[in-house]
Amino acid sequence: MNPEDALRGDIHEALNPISGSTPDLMSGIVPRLRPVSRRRPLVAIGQVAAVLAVGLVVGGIAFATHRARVTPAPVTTSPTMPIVAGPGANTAWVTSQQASGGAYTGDIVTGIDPTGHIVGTINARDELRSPDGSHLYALVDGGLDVYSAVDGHKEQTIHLQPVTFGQPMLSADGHYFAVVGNTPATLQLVDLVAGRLIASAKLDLPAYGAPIIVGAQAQHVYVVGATVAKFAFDGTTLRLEQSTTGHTMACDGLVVGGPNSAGGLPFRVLADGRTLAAFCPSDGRVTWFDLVAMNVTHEVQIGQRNPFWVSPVFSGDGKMLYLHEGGTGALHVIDLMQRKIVTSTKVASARTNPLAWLRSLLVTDAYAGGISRTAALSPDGSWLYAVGAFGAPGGVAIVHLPDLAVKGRWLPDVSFDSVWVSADGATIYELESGDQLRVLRTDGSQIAKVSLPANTSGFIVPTTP
Amino acid sequence: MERIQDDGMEHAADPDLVRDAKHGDEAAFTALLRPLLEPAYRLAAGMLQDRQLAEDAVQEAAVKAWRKINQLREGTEMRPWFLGIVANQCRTTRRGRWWGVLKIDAQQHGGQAPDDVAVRGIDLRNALKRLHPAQRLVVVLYFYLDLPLEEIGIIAGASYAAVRGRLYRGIRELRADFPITEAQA
Repeated sequence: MNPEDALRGDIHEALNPISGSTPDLMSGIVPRLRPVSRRRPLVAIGQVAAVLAVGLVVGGIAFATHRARVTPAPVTTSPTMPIVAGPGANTAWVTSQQASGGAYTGDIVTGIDPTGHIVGTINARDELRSPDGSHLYALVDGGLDVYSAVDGHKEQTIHLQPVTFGQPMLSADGHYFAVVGNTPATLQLVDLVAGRLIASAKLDLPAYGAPIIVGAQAQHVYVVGATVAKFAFDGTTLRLEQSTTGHTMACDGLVVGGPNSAGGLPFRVLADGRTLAAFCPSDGRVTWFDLVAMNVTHEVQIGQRNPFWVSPVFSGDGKMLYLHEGGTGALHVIDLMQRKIVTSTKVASARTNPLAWLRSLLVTDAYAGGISRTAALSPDGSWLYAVGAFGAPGGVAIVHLPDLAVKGRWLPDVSFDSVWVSADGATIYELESGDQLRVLRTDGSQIAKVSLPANTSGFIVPTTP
Repeated sequence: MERIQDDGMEHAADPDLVRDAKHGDEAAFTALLRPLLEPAYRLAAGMLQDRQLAEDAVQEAAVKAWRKINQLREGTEMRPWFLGIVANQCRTTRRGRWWGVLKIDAQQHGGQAPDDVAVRGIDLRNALKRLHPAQRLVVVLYFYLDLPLEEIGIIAGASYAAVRGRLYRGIRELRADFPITEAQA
């Protein structure tokens, strides 16, 4: 046997136990093939031309007489309810991914307070942090562990139906928790105040999607993936009320990337309670989805070299979205109310490695998830802290808002991956390449430098969907 | 050893079926798809090393192919076109945080001590996981699906030379992790 056949044989022997015999895939495909309007090209072109011609005439008249209609009506809304920081909200919690045989096995989560002292560690996986910063949540077999963000001690375990591939999410006020599991395909809703599972519902396969809880009493839960399923919750049961039939959202990015990966939570329910704004880390698109009408109302395409490495940062009031691209320093500011790009600029300094962006193209998926959060917003919304170079010396740029003026740069000779600001805005935590954490004051002076377990992958930041 | 015919030309799409599928005929589409599901599943299983994820990836890719069937140009072979969509879907799946959650090889948890063959299989799977995804794709397509480099180039969107280079680099890196003999592509 020649060497090539020997290797081929080895690979077959190694992979055959994984693949086994091919399962019946078609039965899961056919129900999802919906009729698609497919017209003959020439007929279609003719139809489109006719529609365009009519549209131009009508549009011209409308534009001349009612200019306001041409611009999409802004989302009118009051600011979101301010979130009051809870105990431990100024403590940073940092994950260090653990692996065995090259496979992810969980995280060591380390808490560091503003004085630079380690206050506790947690062994967990798939962590979430409450919007007020006071608690950490982690899915475990058959339950949800609840930890204090003050010192990391476990407060309770809430029983859940066991799930795999769970996609968890918190409500904006931190009262409720929902998880979509793929095996079995279920949606489970937890009342975190009562500390118990309050409802569950079966889902159609495949059940990929992020559960988004809307309403003070979780009146609706939306499972948002390629399609959107709307469940009504009456206090005791979850009932499927409506689901979209097409590929509603522009991006599967709501599904890929958990709350603390993809450089940040890529979506936000705006203050009107009915508009979901979502950034797609696959193609750089921002989509506005009407949760009542169940349709896409607007889309904006952001030009980015590699949107997968973009950190989406929503302002506290949910009115603005900042998209910072690690590696290039490109920063786009989206006005979510006016539904348009306000500014596109660059906040990287000339000292940054001009080829650093190559890393974002070449290094695509090291250890799945844990995409660096390269930008953080101060709680008052007046400062954006942006990692300068991403994997190369560049420090952290201090960007004033809303004018986007770079007012300074801290530690320009140091290579940082991620940044986070404490709930009171007084402490800035910066994750340095090589598993080091710097704790800084707002004037840039250093409080402490802390060594963390190997393979640090990011901050567990408060989740505000 | 099960092998796919590797002339690269045997899976040219039936033009009548393609035309019907483009006009919305589901039966025509499924007829085109059916012979491709096995290699697609093996590709996904090789890339993701998880049966459930592989099933989901192929099903998702199939739905995307249905939506994109109008983009299949006349004379284009169906197999590399569809396997390219599957490869992209695998990449999307890998990017998800949840891909990292359950990757422990089930055989590592077995109650009994694994035999040498099983251990060798685990080592090789782990070595494959450590490859750059672009290299892993080429290695899986070449050694597990037994496809010719020309077709792999179409699937991977790369030139023949680039595919050959990735294959050599992949073999070299596999050799660093796993005791194999140099293979000749």
